[in-house]
Amino acid sequence: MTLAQIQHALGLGCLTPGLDLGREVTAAHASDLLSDALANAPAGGVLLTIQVHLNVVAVALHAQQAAVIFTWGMQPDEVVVRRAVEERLPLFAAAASTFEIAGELYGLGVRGAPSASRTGPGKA
Amino acid sequence: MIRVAADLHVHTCLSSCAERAMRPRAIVEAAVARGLGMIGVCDHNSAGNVRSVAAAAGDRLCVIAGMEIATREEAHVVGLFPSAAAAEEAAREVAASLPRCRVPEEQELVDADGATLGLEPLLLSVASAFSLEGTVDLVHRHGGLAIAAHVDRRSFSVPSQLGFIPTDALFEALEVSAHGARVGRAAAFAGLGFALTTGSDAHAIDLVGEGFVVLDVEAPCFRELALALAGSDGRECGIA
Repeated sequence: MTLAQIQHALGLGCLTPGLDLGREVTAAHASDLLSDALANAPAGGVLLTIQVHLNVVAVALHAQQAAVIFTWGMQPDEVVVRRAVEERLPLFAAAASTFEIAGELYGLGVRGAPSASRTGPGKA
Repeated sequence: MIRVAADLHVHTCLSSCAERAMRPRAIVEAAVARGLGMIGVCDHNSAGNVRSVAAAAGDRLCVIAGMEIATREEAHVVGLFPSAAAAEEAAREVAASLPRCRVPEEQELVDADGATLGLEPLLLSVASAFSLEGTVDLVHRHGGLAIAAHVDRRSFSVPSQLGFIPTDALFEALEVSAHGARVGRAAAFAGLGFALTTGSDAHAIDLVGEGFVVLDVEAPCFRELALALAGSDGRECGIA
């Protein structure tokens, strides 16, 4: 499933028009702890978060994310969008909660990282 | 120059997570007994007990007016201010942004003798509406010093919430936890261009002074502390 198909199916707003949305996505991660996203978001996936700090872009790039979906109506500042465009990282906005968006993605066949792969904060 | 031991991060009974014994005179006695010449009073999102601790301290101890602000990303930032009035002004802005939550435990506003003057009705230990940058700006607008709290911890720290420390952040210092400083974690934060501090983050009397910095300054006061964090005019701040 491509980013464009996900955007259409979930009715997401695109914050970074002009970027290529043809990338195939099969995985996603939902977290507002960016240290967790950095450690555990599966490469090539989509990150769901209510965090709109500039570090979201840096973390998403480092974790090789295909895109970020800001949920729950959270809107990033212009500087965040500008950086994402420079780095060619598509950003989407959703009015629905993280739980709702994750559920819809799951229904489309997108899956999270296996729990056995988890590392980082809080890991026993 | 004189050498001053400073624990720049101490809570009081205004923080619901702190011991009820964290009252002004007990804090001052513990600080003096442990050889501290300066403490920073930093309750969560409030400066409501700062004046009482300062009154209890008199001229025995320099009390820096502080507040541990929770940003909207849930990262903690210690603000240290030039006066109680400045800290209270900043705290008013923080309070206006706090969500209205049920307060499960007592947040006591006390006088210098520890008598309860009232209970803070807003739950203080929650995220404010200020972004990290907005919080640093808030502290600076009120003449204060912004210190990223317990950066070595896995919760409520800038690295835990934001993945790493933004290199363009305008912190005056990064605070390593007392435990982190003891086990040598400060080295991991050296070389980022920020001064380093440590503090007890004491929520209990026994822990006051568990972590402290050593200041080489002309006098134990806010102005000299600011110079020491900047490494200006021969003043210095080191982790003991």
